Amino acid sequence: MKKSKKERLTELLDMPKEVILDLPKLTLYSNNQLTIENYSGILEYTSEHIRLKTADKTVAVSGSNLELRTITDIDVLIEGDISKIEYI
Amino acid sequence: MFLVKLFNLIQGYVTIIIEGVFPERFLNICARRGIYLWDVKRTGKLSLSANASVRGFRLMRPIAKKARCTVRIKKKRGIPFYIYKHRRRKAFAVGAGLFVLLLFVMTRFIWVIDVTGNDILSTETVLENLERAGLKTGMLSGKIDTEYIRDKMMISLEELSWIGINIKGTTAHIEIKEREQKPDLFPKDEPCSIYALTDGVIQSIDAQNGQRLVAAGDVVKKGQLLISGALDSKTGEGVRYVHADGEVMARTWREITVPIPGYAEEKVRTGRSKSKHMVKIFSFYIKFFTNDRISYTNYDRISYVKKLSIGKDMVLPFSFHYDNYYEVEIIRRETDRNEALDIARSEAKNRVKDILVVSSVEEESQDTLKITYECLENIAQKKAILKGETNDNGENT
Repeated sequence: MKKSKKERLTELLDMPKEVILDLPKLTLYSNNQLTIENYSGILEYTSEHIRLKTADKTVAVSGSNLELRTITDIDVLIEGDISKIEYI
Repeated sequence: MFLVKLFNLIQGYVTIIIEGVFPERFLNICARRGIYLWDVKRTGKLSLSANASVRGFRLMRPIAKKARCTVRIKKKRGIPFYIYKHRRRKAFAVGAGLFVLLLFVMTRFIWVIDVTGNDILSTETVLENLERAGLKTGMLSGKIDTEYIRDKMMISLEELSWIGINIKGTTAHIEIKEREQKPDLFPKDEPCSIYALTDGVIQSIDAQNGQRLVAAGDVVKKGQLLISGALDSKTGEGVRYVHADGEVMARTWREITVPIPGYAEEKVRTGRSKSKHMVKIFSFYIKFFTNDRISYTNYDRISYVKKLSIGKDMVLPFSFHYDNYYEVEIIRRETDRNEALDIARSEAKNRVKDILVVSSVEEESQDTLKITYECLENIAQKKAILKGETNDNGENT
């Protein structure tokens, strides 16, 4: 995959990608707490499936008893039994 | 997380039910407009529940319209709602108000005076003087003029060299530095001589002023002139009197005879005990026992006081006093010779504890122990010069 100019620049300067490139950053604690920073919108939310739109791809989280613990305009905190995280 | 929850409770929040075909859209718009939502749960096919602040909820009506959802409140939580709900319960409100007021008023007074650093002075004397200077328990802490009290204390107690008064919460911390006790001094400007305090053999003699009359190794008797303050003038006529000063270290012998005890005393708890518990409010005691008397002849008393306080310094004028009395029996136990000797030895040692002991010789009989301690001590003692005294009992050096 060919890297864009901006991407090469961030790698050269060692800058955090989520800030410059607006890429999503996922932080997962075990399988029960997931923070997704830099998302752009919630596409679907049920207690089994969550789909979130990010800058380039859609993140799909599956599991059971999923709850959106907090929602702000920059991040979402998901709690529940997470079984699968997918990029679509 | 706990702090966030507490903050939410103080501010008040609502649990809302969002119903619509596409409630995710509602969540997205809320997020974009900076309305904070938390604990979002799916409750049914078409509904979600979520928590939002009261302020956030007020902004939701247009969003709901835009997202084609209905929003309704399921539950109101937090202190503002609680107060609103109980606004008609007057006694409750008065009680809560009174509690806050009482707490506020109580913490404005001094309830504890904590004296530290006193060695010679007893705490009672210090407290007594403090009361006279204008600091006692039950005073408004704001009205205390620490500088005035400090000055008063310095004047009234001459043992003080420094006093610090710190008022922290309901506690007044009194820190004391005592003046170094003056040694028994002979007036500096009056002539005097140095005499031997006890019998001994001179180890070293260091005369800072005056005329040395004995040398190291000399045997001296009690009261013998060691350093003379009467100097022969250089011209050979008349006598000049000076204030003799110096240190005379000598080996001395002290004989101490102590009885050898035939038994040792021991306290043994019989297992019977009594407890007296009290609650102290201001200076009144509320007793939680009926019989005031302790019928035991010998007992150990173990007391424990628990003071009610907020933090460390906010002590309130309430305390719990626990007194436990354990009956003890004093048992006289026959001791063997070695044990008895040990007891006698420590008793003898106790009597010479302030003196440097070089060596000791023991001599024991059936019921007494005689120990001769060889000590090293300063035997210099200043005394006024007898007029007309000359150095005829020593040779001039």
